[in-house]
Amino acid sequence: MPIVMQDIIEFMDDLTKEFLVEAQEHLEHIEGDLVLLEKNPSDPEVIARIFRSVHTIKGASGFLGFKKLQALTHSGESLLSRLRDGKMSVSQGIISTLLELSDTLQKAIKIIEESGKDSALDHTPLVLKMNRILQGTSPEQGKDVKKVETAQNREKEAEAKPQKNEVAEKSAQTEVLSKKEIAPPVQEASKTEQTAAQVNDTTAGQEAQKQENQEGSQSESVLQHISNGSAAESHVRIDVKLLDKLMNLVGELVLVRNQVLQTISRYEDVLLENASQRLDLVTTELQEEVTRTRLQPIRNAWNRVPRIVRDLSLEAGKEVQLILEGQDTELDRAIIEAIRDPMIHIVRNSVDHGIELPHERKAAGKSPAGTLKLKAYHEGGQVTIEVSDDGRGIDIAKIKKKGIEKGFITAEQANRMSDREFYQLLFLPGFSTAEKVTNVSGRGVGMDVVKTNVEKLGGSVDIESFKGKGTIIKLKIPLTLAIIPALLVKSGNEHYAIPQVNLVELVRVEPSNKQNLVHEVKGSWVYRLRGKLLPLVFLSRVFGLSDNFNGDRVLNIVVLHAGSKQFGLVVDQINDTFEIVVKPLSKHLKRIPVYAGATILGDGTVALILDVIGLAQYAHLADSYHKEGINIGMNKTGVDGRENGEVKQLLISSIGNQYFAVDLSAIGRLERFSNNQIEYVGNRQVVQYRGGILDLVSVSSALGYNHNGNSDDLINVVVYEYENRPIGLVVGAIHDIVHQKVSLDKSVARPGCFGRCIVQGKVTELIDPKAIIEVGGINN
Amino acid sequence: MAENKQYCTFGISGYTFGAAADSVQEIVTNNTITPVPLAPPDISGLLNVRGQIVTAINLRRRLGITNSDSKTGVHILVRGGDSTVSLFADLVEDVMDINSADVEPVPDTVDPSIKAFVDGVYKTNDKLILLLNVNKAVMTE
Repeated sequence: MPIVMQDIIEFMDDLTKEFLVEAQEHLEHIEGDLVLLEKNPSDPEVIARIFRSVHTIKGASGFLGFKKLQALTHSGESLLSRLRDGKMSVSQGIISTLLELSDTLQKAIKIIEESGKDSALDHTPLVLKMNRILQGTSPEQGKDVKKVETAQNREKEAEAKPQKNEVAEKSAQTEVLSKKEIAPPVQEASKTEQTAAQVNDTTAGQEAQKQENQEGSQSESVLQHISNGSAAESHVRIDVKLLDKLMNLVGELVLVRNQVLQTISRYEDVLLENASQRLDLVTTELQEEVTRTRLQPIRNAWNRVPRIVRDLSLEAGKEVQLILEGQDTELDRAIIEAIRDPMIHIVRNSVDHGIELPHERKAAGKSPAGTLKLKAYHEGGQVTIEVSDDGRGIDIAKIKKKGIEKGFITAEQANRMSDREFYQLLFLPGFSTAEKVTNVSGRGVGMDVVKTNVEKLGGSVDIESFKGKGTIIKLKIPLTLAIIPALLVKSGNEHYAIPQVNLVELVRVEPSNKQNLVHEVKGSWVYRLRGKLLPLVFLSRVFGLSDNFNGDRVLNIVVLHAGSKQFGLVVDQINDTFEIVVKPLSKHLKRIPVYAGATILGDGTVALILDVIGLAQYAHLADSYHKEGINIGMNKTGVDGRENGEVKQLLISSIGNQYFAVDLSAIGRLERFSNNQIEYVGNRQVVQYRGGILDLVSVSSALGYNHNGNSDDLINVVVYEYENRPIGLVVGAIHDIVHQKVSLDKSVARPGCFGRCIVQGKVTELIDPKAIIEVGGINN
Repeated sequence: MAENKQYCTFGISGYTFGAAADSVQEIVTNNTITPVPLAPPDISGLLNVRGQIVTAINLRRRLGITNSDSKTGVHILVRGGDSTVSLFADLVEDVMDINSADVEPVPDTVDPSIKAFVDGVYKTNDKLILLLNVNKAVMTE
């Protein structure tokens, strides 16, 4: 069949597409190698690698008619060959120029992608710059380090050295734009700490000879696909779309398998059962393997980091040593994409704010070069990524100051916050402790976005820091996205799926215990989980359905964690855990914050997947009085909003008709005991509590309230830490927990009381737990 | 040039609508809808069609015809934008050819909430067929 013009054009287009993909890969490695070269200027392998990559791009660009690209790479190649032959030494200026070349080549690739030609590229200044260097008239050649060895020596070395890097195979004469193994879907057996791609190419020695007659053989090189050696044969290149499709199909298979298994249970046929078991095993294995094809080593997310660290440290005048550990740790492709930017931001923070200037470090007795370490490893079904530096650490005092200045917290709160809580402040939008905002790290918009993005993936971010010593930032991310284990629950008539990654525990409250452990406080409910207050969210109420929780029914609570907060989700029924396939919701429903997607259950019905973080926010848990978290909603105005009192979190209680309030920030726990737990020692009341003895002090007696004694069987006790031991203050009926600004009328302060204030329209005494304990005669 | 175009006609609360046949994928009956609490009121819920999760739009609500949430009906699966969506209607009637020359502008007697989604009308002997703009019908707010 005669070759038609159309065919040729299509063929050329395909070649161009392939060229762009391969050039992109080359460029990624070039960048990393240039940074490496700067550190190891005498390593001939690195130069050879860079040279080959640039040379390859040059050849192909010439063949495909990209003149500007060709000119650019030609200059670069000349420069590199001088370096390689030892006629010029590696210097910082030259590396910077070569990095500029790499950047410009990237731009060129993009331009070609968009317009099909490279004519829009402005390459002249760079070409001139490089030519000046070649002629020796440029200031960029500066002092530098060591000479590069000659071609001969290099070849000997290459053979003698046990390769740290890939083996460069001795191959046939021509140089090829070879089919390279793709790092993504399939993993190679031998992996290294350096770049992953293997380029099958001629050795450096042969190159030196061939350089002159390259022009002639260029046209053949692009078209030849010679695969040499075993490495090339064991790897294939696959379009990512195909992989995604495979993943989808496997997802469907998982669902059908679930359906089959469910239906099979109704029949009693041995053969059928055997077949379905086999189906189950095969499907599970298939799922695992296909999931693995989506895995990529995390080095793909880190490939820009060396260059960025180099540029940043130069700009800031700092010395930074970068260590990358665990680069082979595998993550789902989608996660790699999603964490690229957060990683870069964290790295920037470290170099910019964490690591000190060399003279500062010396003064502190540290080595002048700071260490920045990125470490990734698998642990418990998750991938943990640690970014640590040995810089100045995070100054808590500064955070405190900033927090108060910006109104995120009050001075009162600040005095009671733990270090961990201070670090959490850094994740708030608008918070930045940078003294001067560098254009690199931005204006504090970073960490909150990092946190959001990581949490979107179902992960978490944590900061640990030691003043003067350094900071560690830990990212934890679950391994796969599309097929996840989930707990099925029922509310109303429908099933809902909760991702297991958010699950903490399941609690079943018998009707008889409900009274004891579940408190309603003006419309908000809490559950006392081992002494701590867990806010409850009723799923049926979130959905606007009715429920009946006052009946004699068991209460089913699913304890979940959303970021750093915990809450209990009350549902009608708790079913099993299943592996479900997450299917996205259409745009009509995507915006609803409480759903993360939908799935099809074994019986064919659709179940919505709950987004735990969205659910928590929707149910206003940010405003709740959960003691573990920081109450960021403090800036809301309360009853006495206009007055300048301090915002407090108060437990409102009453004895008889006297109302009093206790500042909750001073309190450890709220407990409830029944009257018959009270024992008497001398004339003191005590209860057994957590393996020890809790002294009880009656607030009403201490304050002289008239009181007829507790007619209820139950007493409410607020546990207060007094001189390292817990003391229980017996409060009366609990009415509410509020947070509001408190305007204290101190004129009537008396022992045991800070003063009076108005809470919810009633005159309330704010009690002083410490004083009450003393008044109550503990010290007698 | 006037041309014949095929339309699928279906009824909702006494009105008859027509949707261009080339945008209709299939008709599904007897499928349980899973309600989506907190969704906008004109979303009936989610549907499982051979493993694909389809959003069902309550056409009655969207067109403001009636506020009743009848659970029986048919799902007309249409291709809207880049996803498949189902229009939940009472019953399906017919497939008919309509010549574009015979299509008239929507009369003012038609409710404005319906008019917003209808491109034109076609009169037959016994009824008025409102020609639905499928893309508008499946759009999100």
